[in-house]
Amino acid sequence: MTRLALMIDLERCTGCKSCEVACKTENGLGPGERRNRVVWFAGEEQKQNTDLSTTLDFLALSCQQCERPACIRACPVNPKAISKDPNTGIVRVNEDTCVGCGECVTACPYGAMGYDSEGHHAVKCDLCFEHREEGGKTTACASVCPTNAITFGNHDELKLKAQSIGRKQIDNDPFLLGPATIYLDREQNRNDPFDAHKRTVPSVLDTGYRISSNKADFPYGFPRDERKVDRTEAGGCNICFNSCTAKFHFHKNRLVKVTGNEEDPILKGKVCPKSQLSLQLYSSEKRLTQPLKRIGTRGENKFKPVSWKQALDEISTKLAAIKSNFGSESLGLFSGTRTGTLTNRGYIRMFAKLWGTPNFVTTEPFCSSGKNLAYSMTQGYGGPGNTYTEEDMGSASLHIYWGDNQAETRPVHFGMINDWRLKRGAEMIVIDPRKTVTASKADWHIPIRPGGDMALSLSIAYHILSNHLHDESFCNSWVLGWQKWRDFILRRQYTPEWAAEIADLTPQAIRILAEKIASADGCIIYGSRGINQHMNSTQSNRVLMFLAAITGNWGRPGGAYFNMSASLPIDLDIPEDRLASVSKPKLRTSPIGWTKAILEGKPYDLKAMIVNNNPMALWPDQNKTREALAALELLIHIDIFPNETSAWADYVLPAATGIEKGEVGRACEDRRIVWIDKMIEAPGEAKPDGWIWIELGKRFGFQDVLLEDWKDSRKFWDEALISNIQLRGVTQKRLHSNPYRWVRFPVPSEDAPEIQTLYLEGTTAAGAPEGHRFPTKSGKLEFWTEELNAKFEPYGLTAYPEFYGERESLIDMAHMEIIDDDGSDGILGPFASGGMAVTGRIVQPEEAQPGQRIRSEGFWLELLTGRPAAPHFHSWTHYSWQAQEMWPDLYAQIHPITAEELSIQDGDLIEVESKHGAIQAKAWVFHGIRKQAVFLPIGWGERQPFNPWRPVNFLTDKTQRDPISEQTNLKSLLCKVTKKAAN
Amino acid sequence: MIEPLNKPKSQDLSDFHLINIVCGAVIISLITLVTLQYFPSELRQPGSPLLQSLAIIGSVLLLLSFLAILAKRFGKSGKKGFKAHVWLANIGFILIIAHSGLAILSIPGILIILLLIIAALGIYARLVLSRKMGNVFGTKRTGFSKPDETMQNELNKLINYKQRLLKKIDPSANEAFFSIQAKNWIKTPILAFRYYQAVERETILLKTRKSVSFVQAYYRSIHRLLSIAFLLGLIIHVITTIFFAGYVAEDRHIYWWHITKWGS
Repeated sequence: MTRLALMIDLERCTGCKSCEVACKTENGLGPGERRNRVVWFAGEEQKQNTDLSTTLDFLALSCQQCERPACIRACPVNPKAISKDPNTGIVRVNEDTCVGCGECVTACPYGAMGYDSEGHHAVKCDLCFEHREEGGKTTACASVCPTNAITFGNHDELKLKAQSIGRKQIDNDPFLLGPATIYLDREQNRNDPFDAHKRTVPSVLDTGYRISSNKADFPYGFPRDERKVDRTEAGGCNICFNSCTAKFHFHKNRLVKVTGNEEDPILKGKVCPKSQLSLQLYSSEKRLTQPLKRIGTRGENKFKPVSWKQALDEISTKLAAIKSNFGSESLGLFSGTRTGTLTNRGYIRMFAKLWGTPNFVTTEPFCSSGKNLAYSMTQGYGGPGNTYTEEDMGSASLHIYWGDNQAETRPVHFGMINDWRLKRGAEMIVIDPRKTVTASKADWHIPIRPGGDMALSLSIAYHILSNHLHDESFCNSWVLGWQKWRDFILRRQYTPEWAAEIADLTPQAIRILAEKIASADGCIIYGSRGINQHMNSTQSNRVLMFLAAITGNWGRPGGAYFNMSASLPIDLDIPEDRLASVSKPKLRTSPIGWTKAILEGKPYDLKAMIVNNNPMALWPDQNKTREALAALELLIHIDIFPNETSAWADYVLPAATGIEKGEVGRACEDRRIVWIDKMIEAPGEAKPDGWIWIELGKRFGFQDVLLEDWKDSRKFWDEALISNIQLRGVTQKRLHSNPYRWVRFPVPSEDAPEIQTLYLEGTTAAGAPEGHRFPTKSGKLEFWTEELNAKFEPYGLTAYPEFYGERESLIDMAHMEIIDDDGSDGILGPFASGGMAVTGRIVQPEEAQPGQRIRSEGFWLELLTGRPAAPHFHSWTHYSWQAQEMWPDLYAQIHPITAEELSIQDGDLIEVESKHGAIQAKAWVFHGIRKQAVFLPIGWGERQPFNPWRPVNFLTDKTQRDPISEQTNLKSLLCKVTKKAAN
Repeated sequence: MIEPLNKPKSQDLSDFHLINIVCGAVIISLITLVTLQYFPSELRQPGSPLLQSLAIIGSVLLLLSFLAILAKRFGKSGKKGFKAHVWLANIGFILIIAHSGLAILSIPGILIILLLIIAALGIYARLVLSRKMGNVFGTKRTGFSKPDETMQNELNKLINYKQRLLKKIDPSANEAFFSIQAKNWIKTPILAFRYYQAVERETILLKTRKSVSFVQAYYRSIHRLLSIAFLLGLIIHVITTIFFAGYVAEDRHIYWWHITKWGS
């Protein structure tokens, strides 16, 4: 007998629920049907911790394949509808003879028996019996698990493996049933084993049973024969920066499954739930399928279908009239995540240059413009140079996640890092106001005050420099202006004592952290939106870069400041004589700075916009955004789903996505360019973005540049986008020469080798003069130069990263006051590519503080916004029924003590109000958040099909922007909370 | 363009069909009751040749419905048995309602009330409880809680006891998978009862019935008990009206077919 089993590692599981998606896809399970579930344990019932020591734990639950299965004994059918295979020990349900009485559901003490309420029969995990019969080597859940938390195999061998690595097993046999599943306890639970009985389960998860099964389109609920794979193609996911490779499986040209690509040498078949859930996006009945023309008032959401010809003809006529009356600059273009890299970096940019508008922006000012700028200033290129390989990032001895919840935002990359660091015994520290999933895996969680990051990083630098803990040799050889910066830090006395109150930490903790960074043999500081989405975005990023540099953690394997991700370095080659003349400078770098131009014609008129994703749910201050978009003479919306923005548009154009159009994955964190072939037709009349821009361009005579041939994305890539030295070798031929469809740039020629770690000593950066290790003018990292300082001066700032925090905080701290109004000309900012920018002034704590005024009005809590759990990404995953089943409602994390003060219980409906607006959400009473803080995730919207909620951008402020990068503060606002209704 | 696919038909009786059948039965019952109002008064009485005949047919159908649900215990298709159970019960229901004239304020009316409760519970279980069953997944904690040694010792003894009993009940059976079947109740009723008691004790130790809602834990038992009560009541009703017609009629005229007037 070969007893088969799963082994689940609680130390590795991040609760991403990728296994749940794989299971439902493999077994065609619809809403409410489960063979597995990852249960989140988020607190201890008896504790009201204030020290945030309570951790998050995730229990991947499926049938335990017991030796004495309670379910079989409870089954009243004769012969039994549940049986146990004597050879493998697998317990299976015969769904044809099961009468659906549910006795087995009641009898299983693990709660691991599922039920199909439509077909009225039990469903349960059989370790992918049929999948393996068809040749699958492992179970669906184990094959995709991004963190290697699930292993499938021989029970005895798995047990030996666990023993050999010294892992303690959870006793999951209190009832003498002989479960086969092996659970490995958390490393930190050695003295106090995991006990589910003591733990609380948040009520905001897994309550999506309201979704009717008829919302699940093909292939869910279909017999296995109709889902049998007859063709598989390699491609990738186009949703997030993890850029996972994927395989797309078809049955008679119908997409039936999206899995990881096990042939990928890096990702090895691991994918997060989003990649797999794209199956539900491709087949969704909610997709936009034909061009629509508004027939109601704006926001009324009334449209009539029109032909593409009519839509594009009318749009072009209106655009031409606007151009004639207000100039070509009066057209604004906005695109983002959904739009895709080829369109963002290619088609739209070409159109903008041919049309003659400088006003094209992406979502960068909301995500990453501060760090892009900081990298460019310091390193000469906008992203990190390390890679997710065991030899590079896997070799670090200290991983610091600073404002980066990688476990939920890029689960596969986190899984790799966590796996490597557990094997190596490397330390992990997380600096975050919340106990995020990432923080729950850390050796040390530092619950910093929102907005305290720059102060903390400056004080760490102070401690390192004042105690001569820095890498002087690296500094002298490879850092320009580091002494000037050191003198500035010391002069300003940015001591741990000074930072302690701002960051809400102890000076001792800061010193320990500093010394750990300085002494680590390879330290990677991961930064992300928690650093970027602040008014001091650029400067905070610079300080963290400097910190990495002075400790020698730059240009080496296992050492970096790693703030993802750099845009692809695409240069468009447009003939000079075809570039349209532009007579006005770009409006603000951030599109929320355009509202005065739309509403008041200041600094000049903006009359029309073509938007390619969902600004209404994205731009801070939705009330103002609504007012502005409603005032446009023409609003065109291109998207895959109808949403809040489309409801306000004059024309809605249905777009194709991913495998419907041919695309590259998002800008990947570690420079992998993943190619996604066109594999299926888009639904209805939906068209690839490239097709739309080329067809629109034809109506203005752009067809000699925006070529008809380039509707084929492969030709567009090869012929238009990869002419520079970084990308020249990333041809279609090379992308298709391997089974995983990616190439890591820079590769100057088709046969040039890929580089694992950039900027190693003795190397020359791509495109830089010989001997220039870094692609800056000097070839060194640049902290301070005369030239750089001159660029800062027009903003009223210097190249020294002088501390300022946020204006909305529970304490008074230095903050940035924006001097120029968005309607003014401002300055022509050196960092805004010659566009208009605002100036600012650092206001010291002793001067008038807007925070004081806001606090006196009763806003006494810190408001944080950010990404939700792994299955969701902005608004587009909210059209997937399974993502909604897992995470249905907008929630607000609030500490139990604060909740008790406000008489709020877990699951209650609450209102969160900031100075800028109010929304409602379900309360998630969570021990892991700072007592004074409230966290709300982004992505929900009022017009979403399953669980509509007002989005968080009603609470955010469009005026709180970093003057240098125009990055908006989305992480530190003040709010108050009231209970609206009990759960 | 690839045509959209329709979901394949299930062998199972869908909720939609169940609702249609039940609604149909209720509507037909109401129409029958209204129509009967226009019949001559002698025909409208429960014991009239017409309504007594309907009652006989209805009772037989309800008995068959009862047997149909037992089919699963004898190796027959549970799904077909369930469909038959629903159809027979609904047709029987219409006939019994017609027979009763919905006169629930009488001693035989108790049977009508029982019938309505049984039907309501069955419908509730199918339409509502089945969804709740789907939501049970992952909600139990006991399987991952610290083991209780005292309970484990008791459980161990209980398993040994069950194994000893099983050697007498069915030597070829394995305690790990075994549950008492109809044949065991017939062949070795006392041992079967002891085994049943041991299973109940084990269920209490595992706290599994407490791990779900009361209705979910006990709806089958309640549905079964009420059905048996209804069956017994039906038998009593038949016996009393046929053999104790005088007792049933009290001082009224005995107009229905009967054998004796005992009890008058």
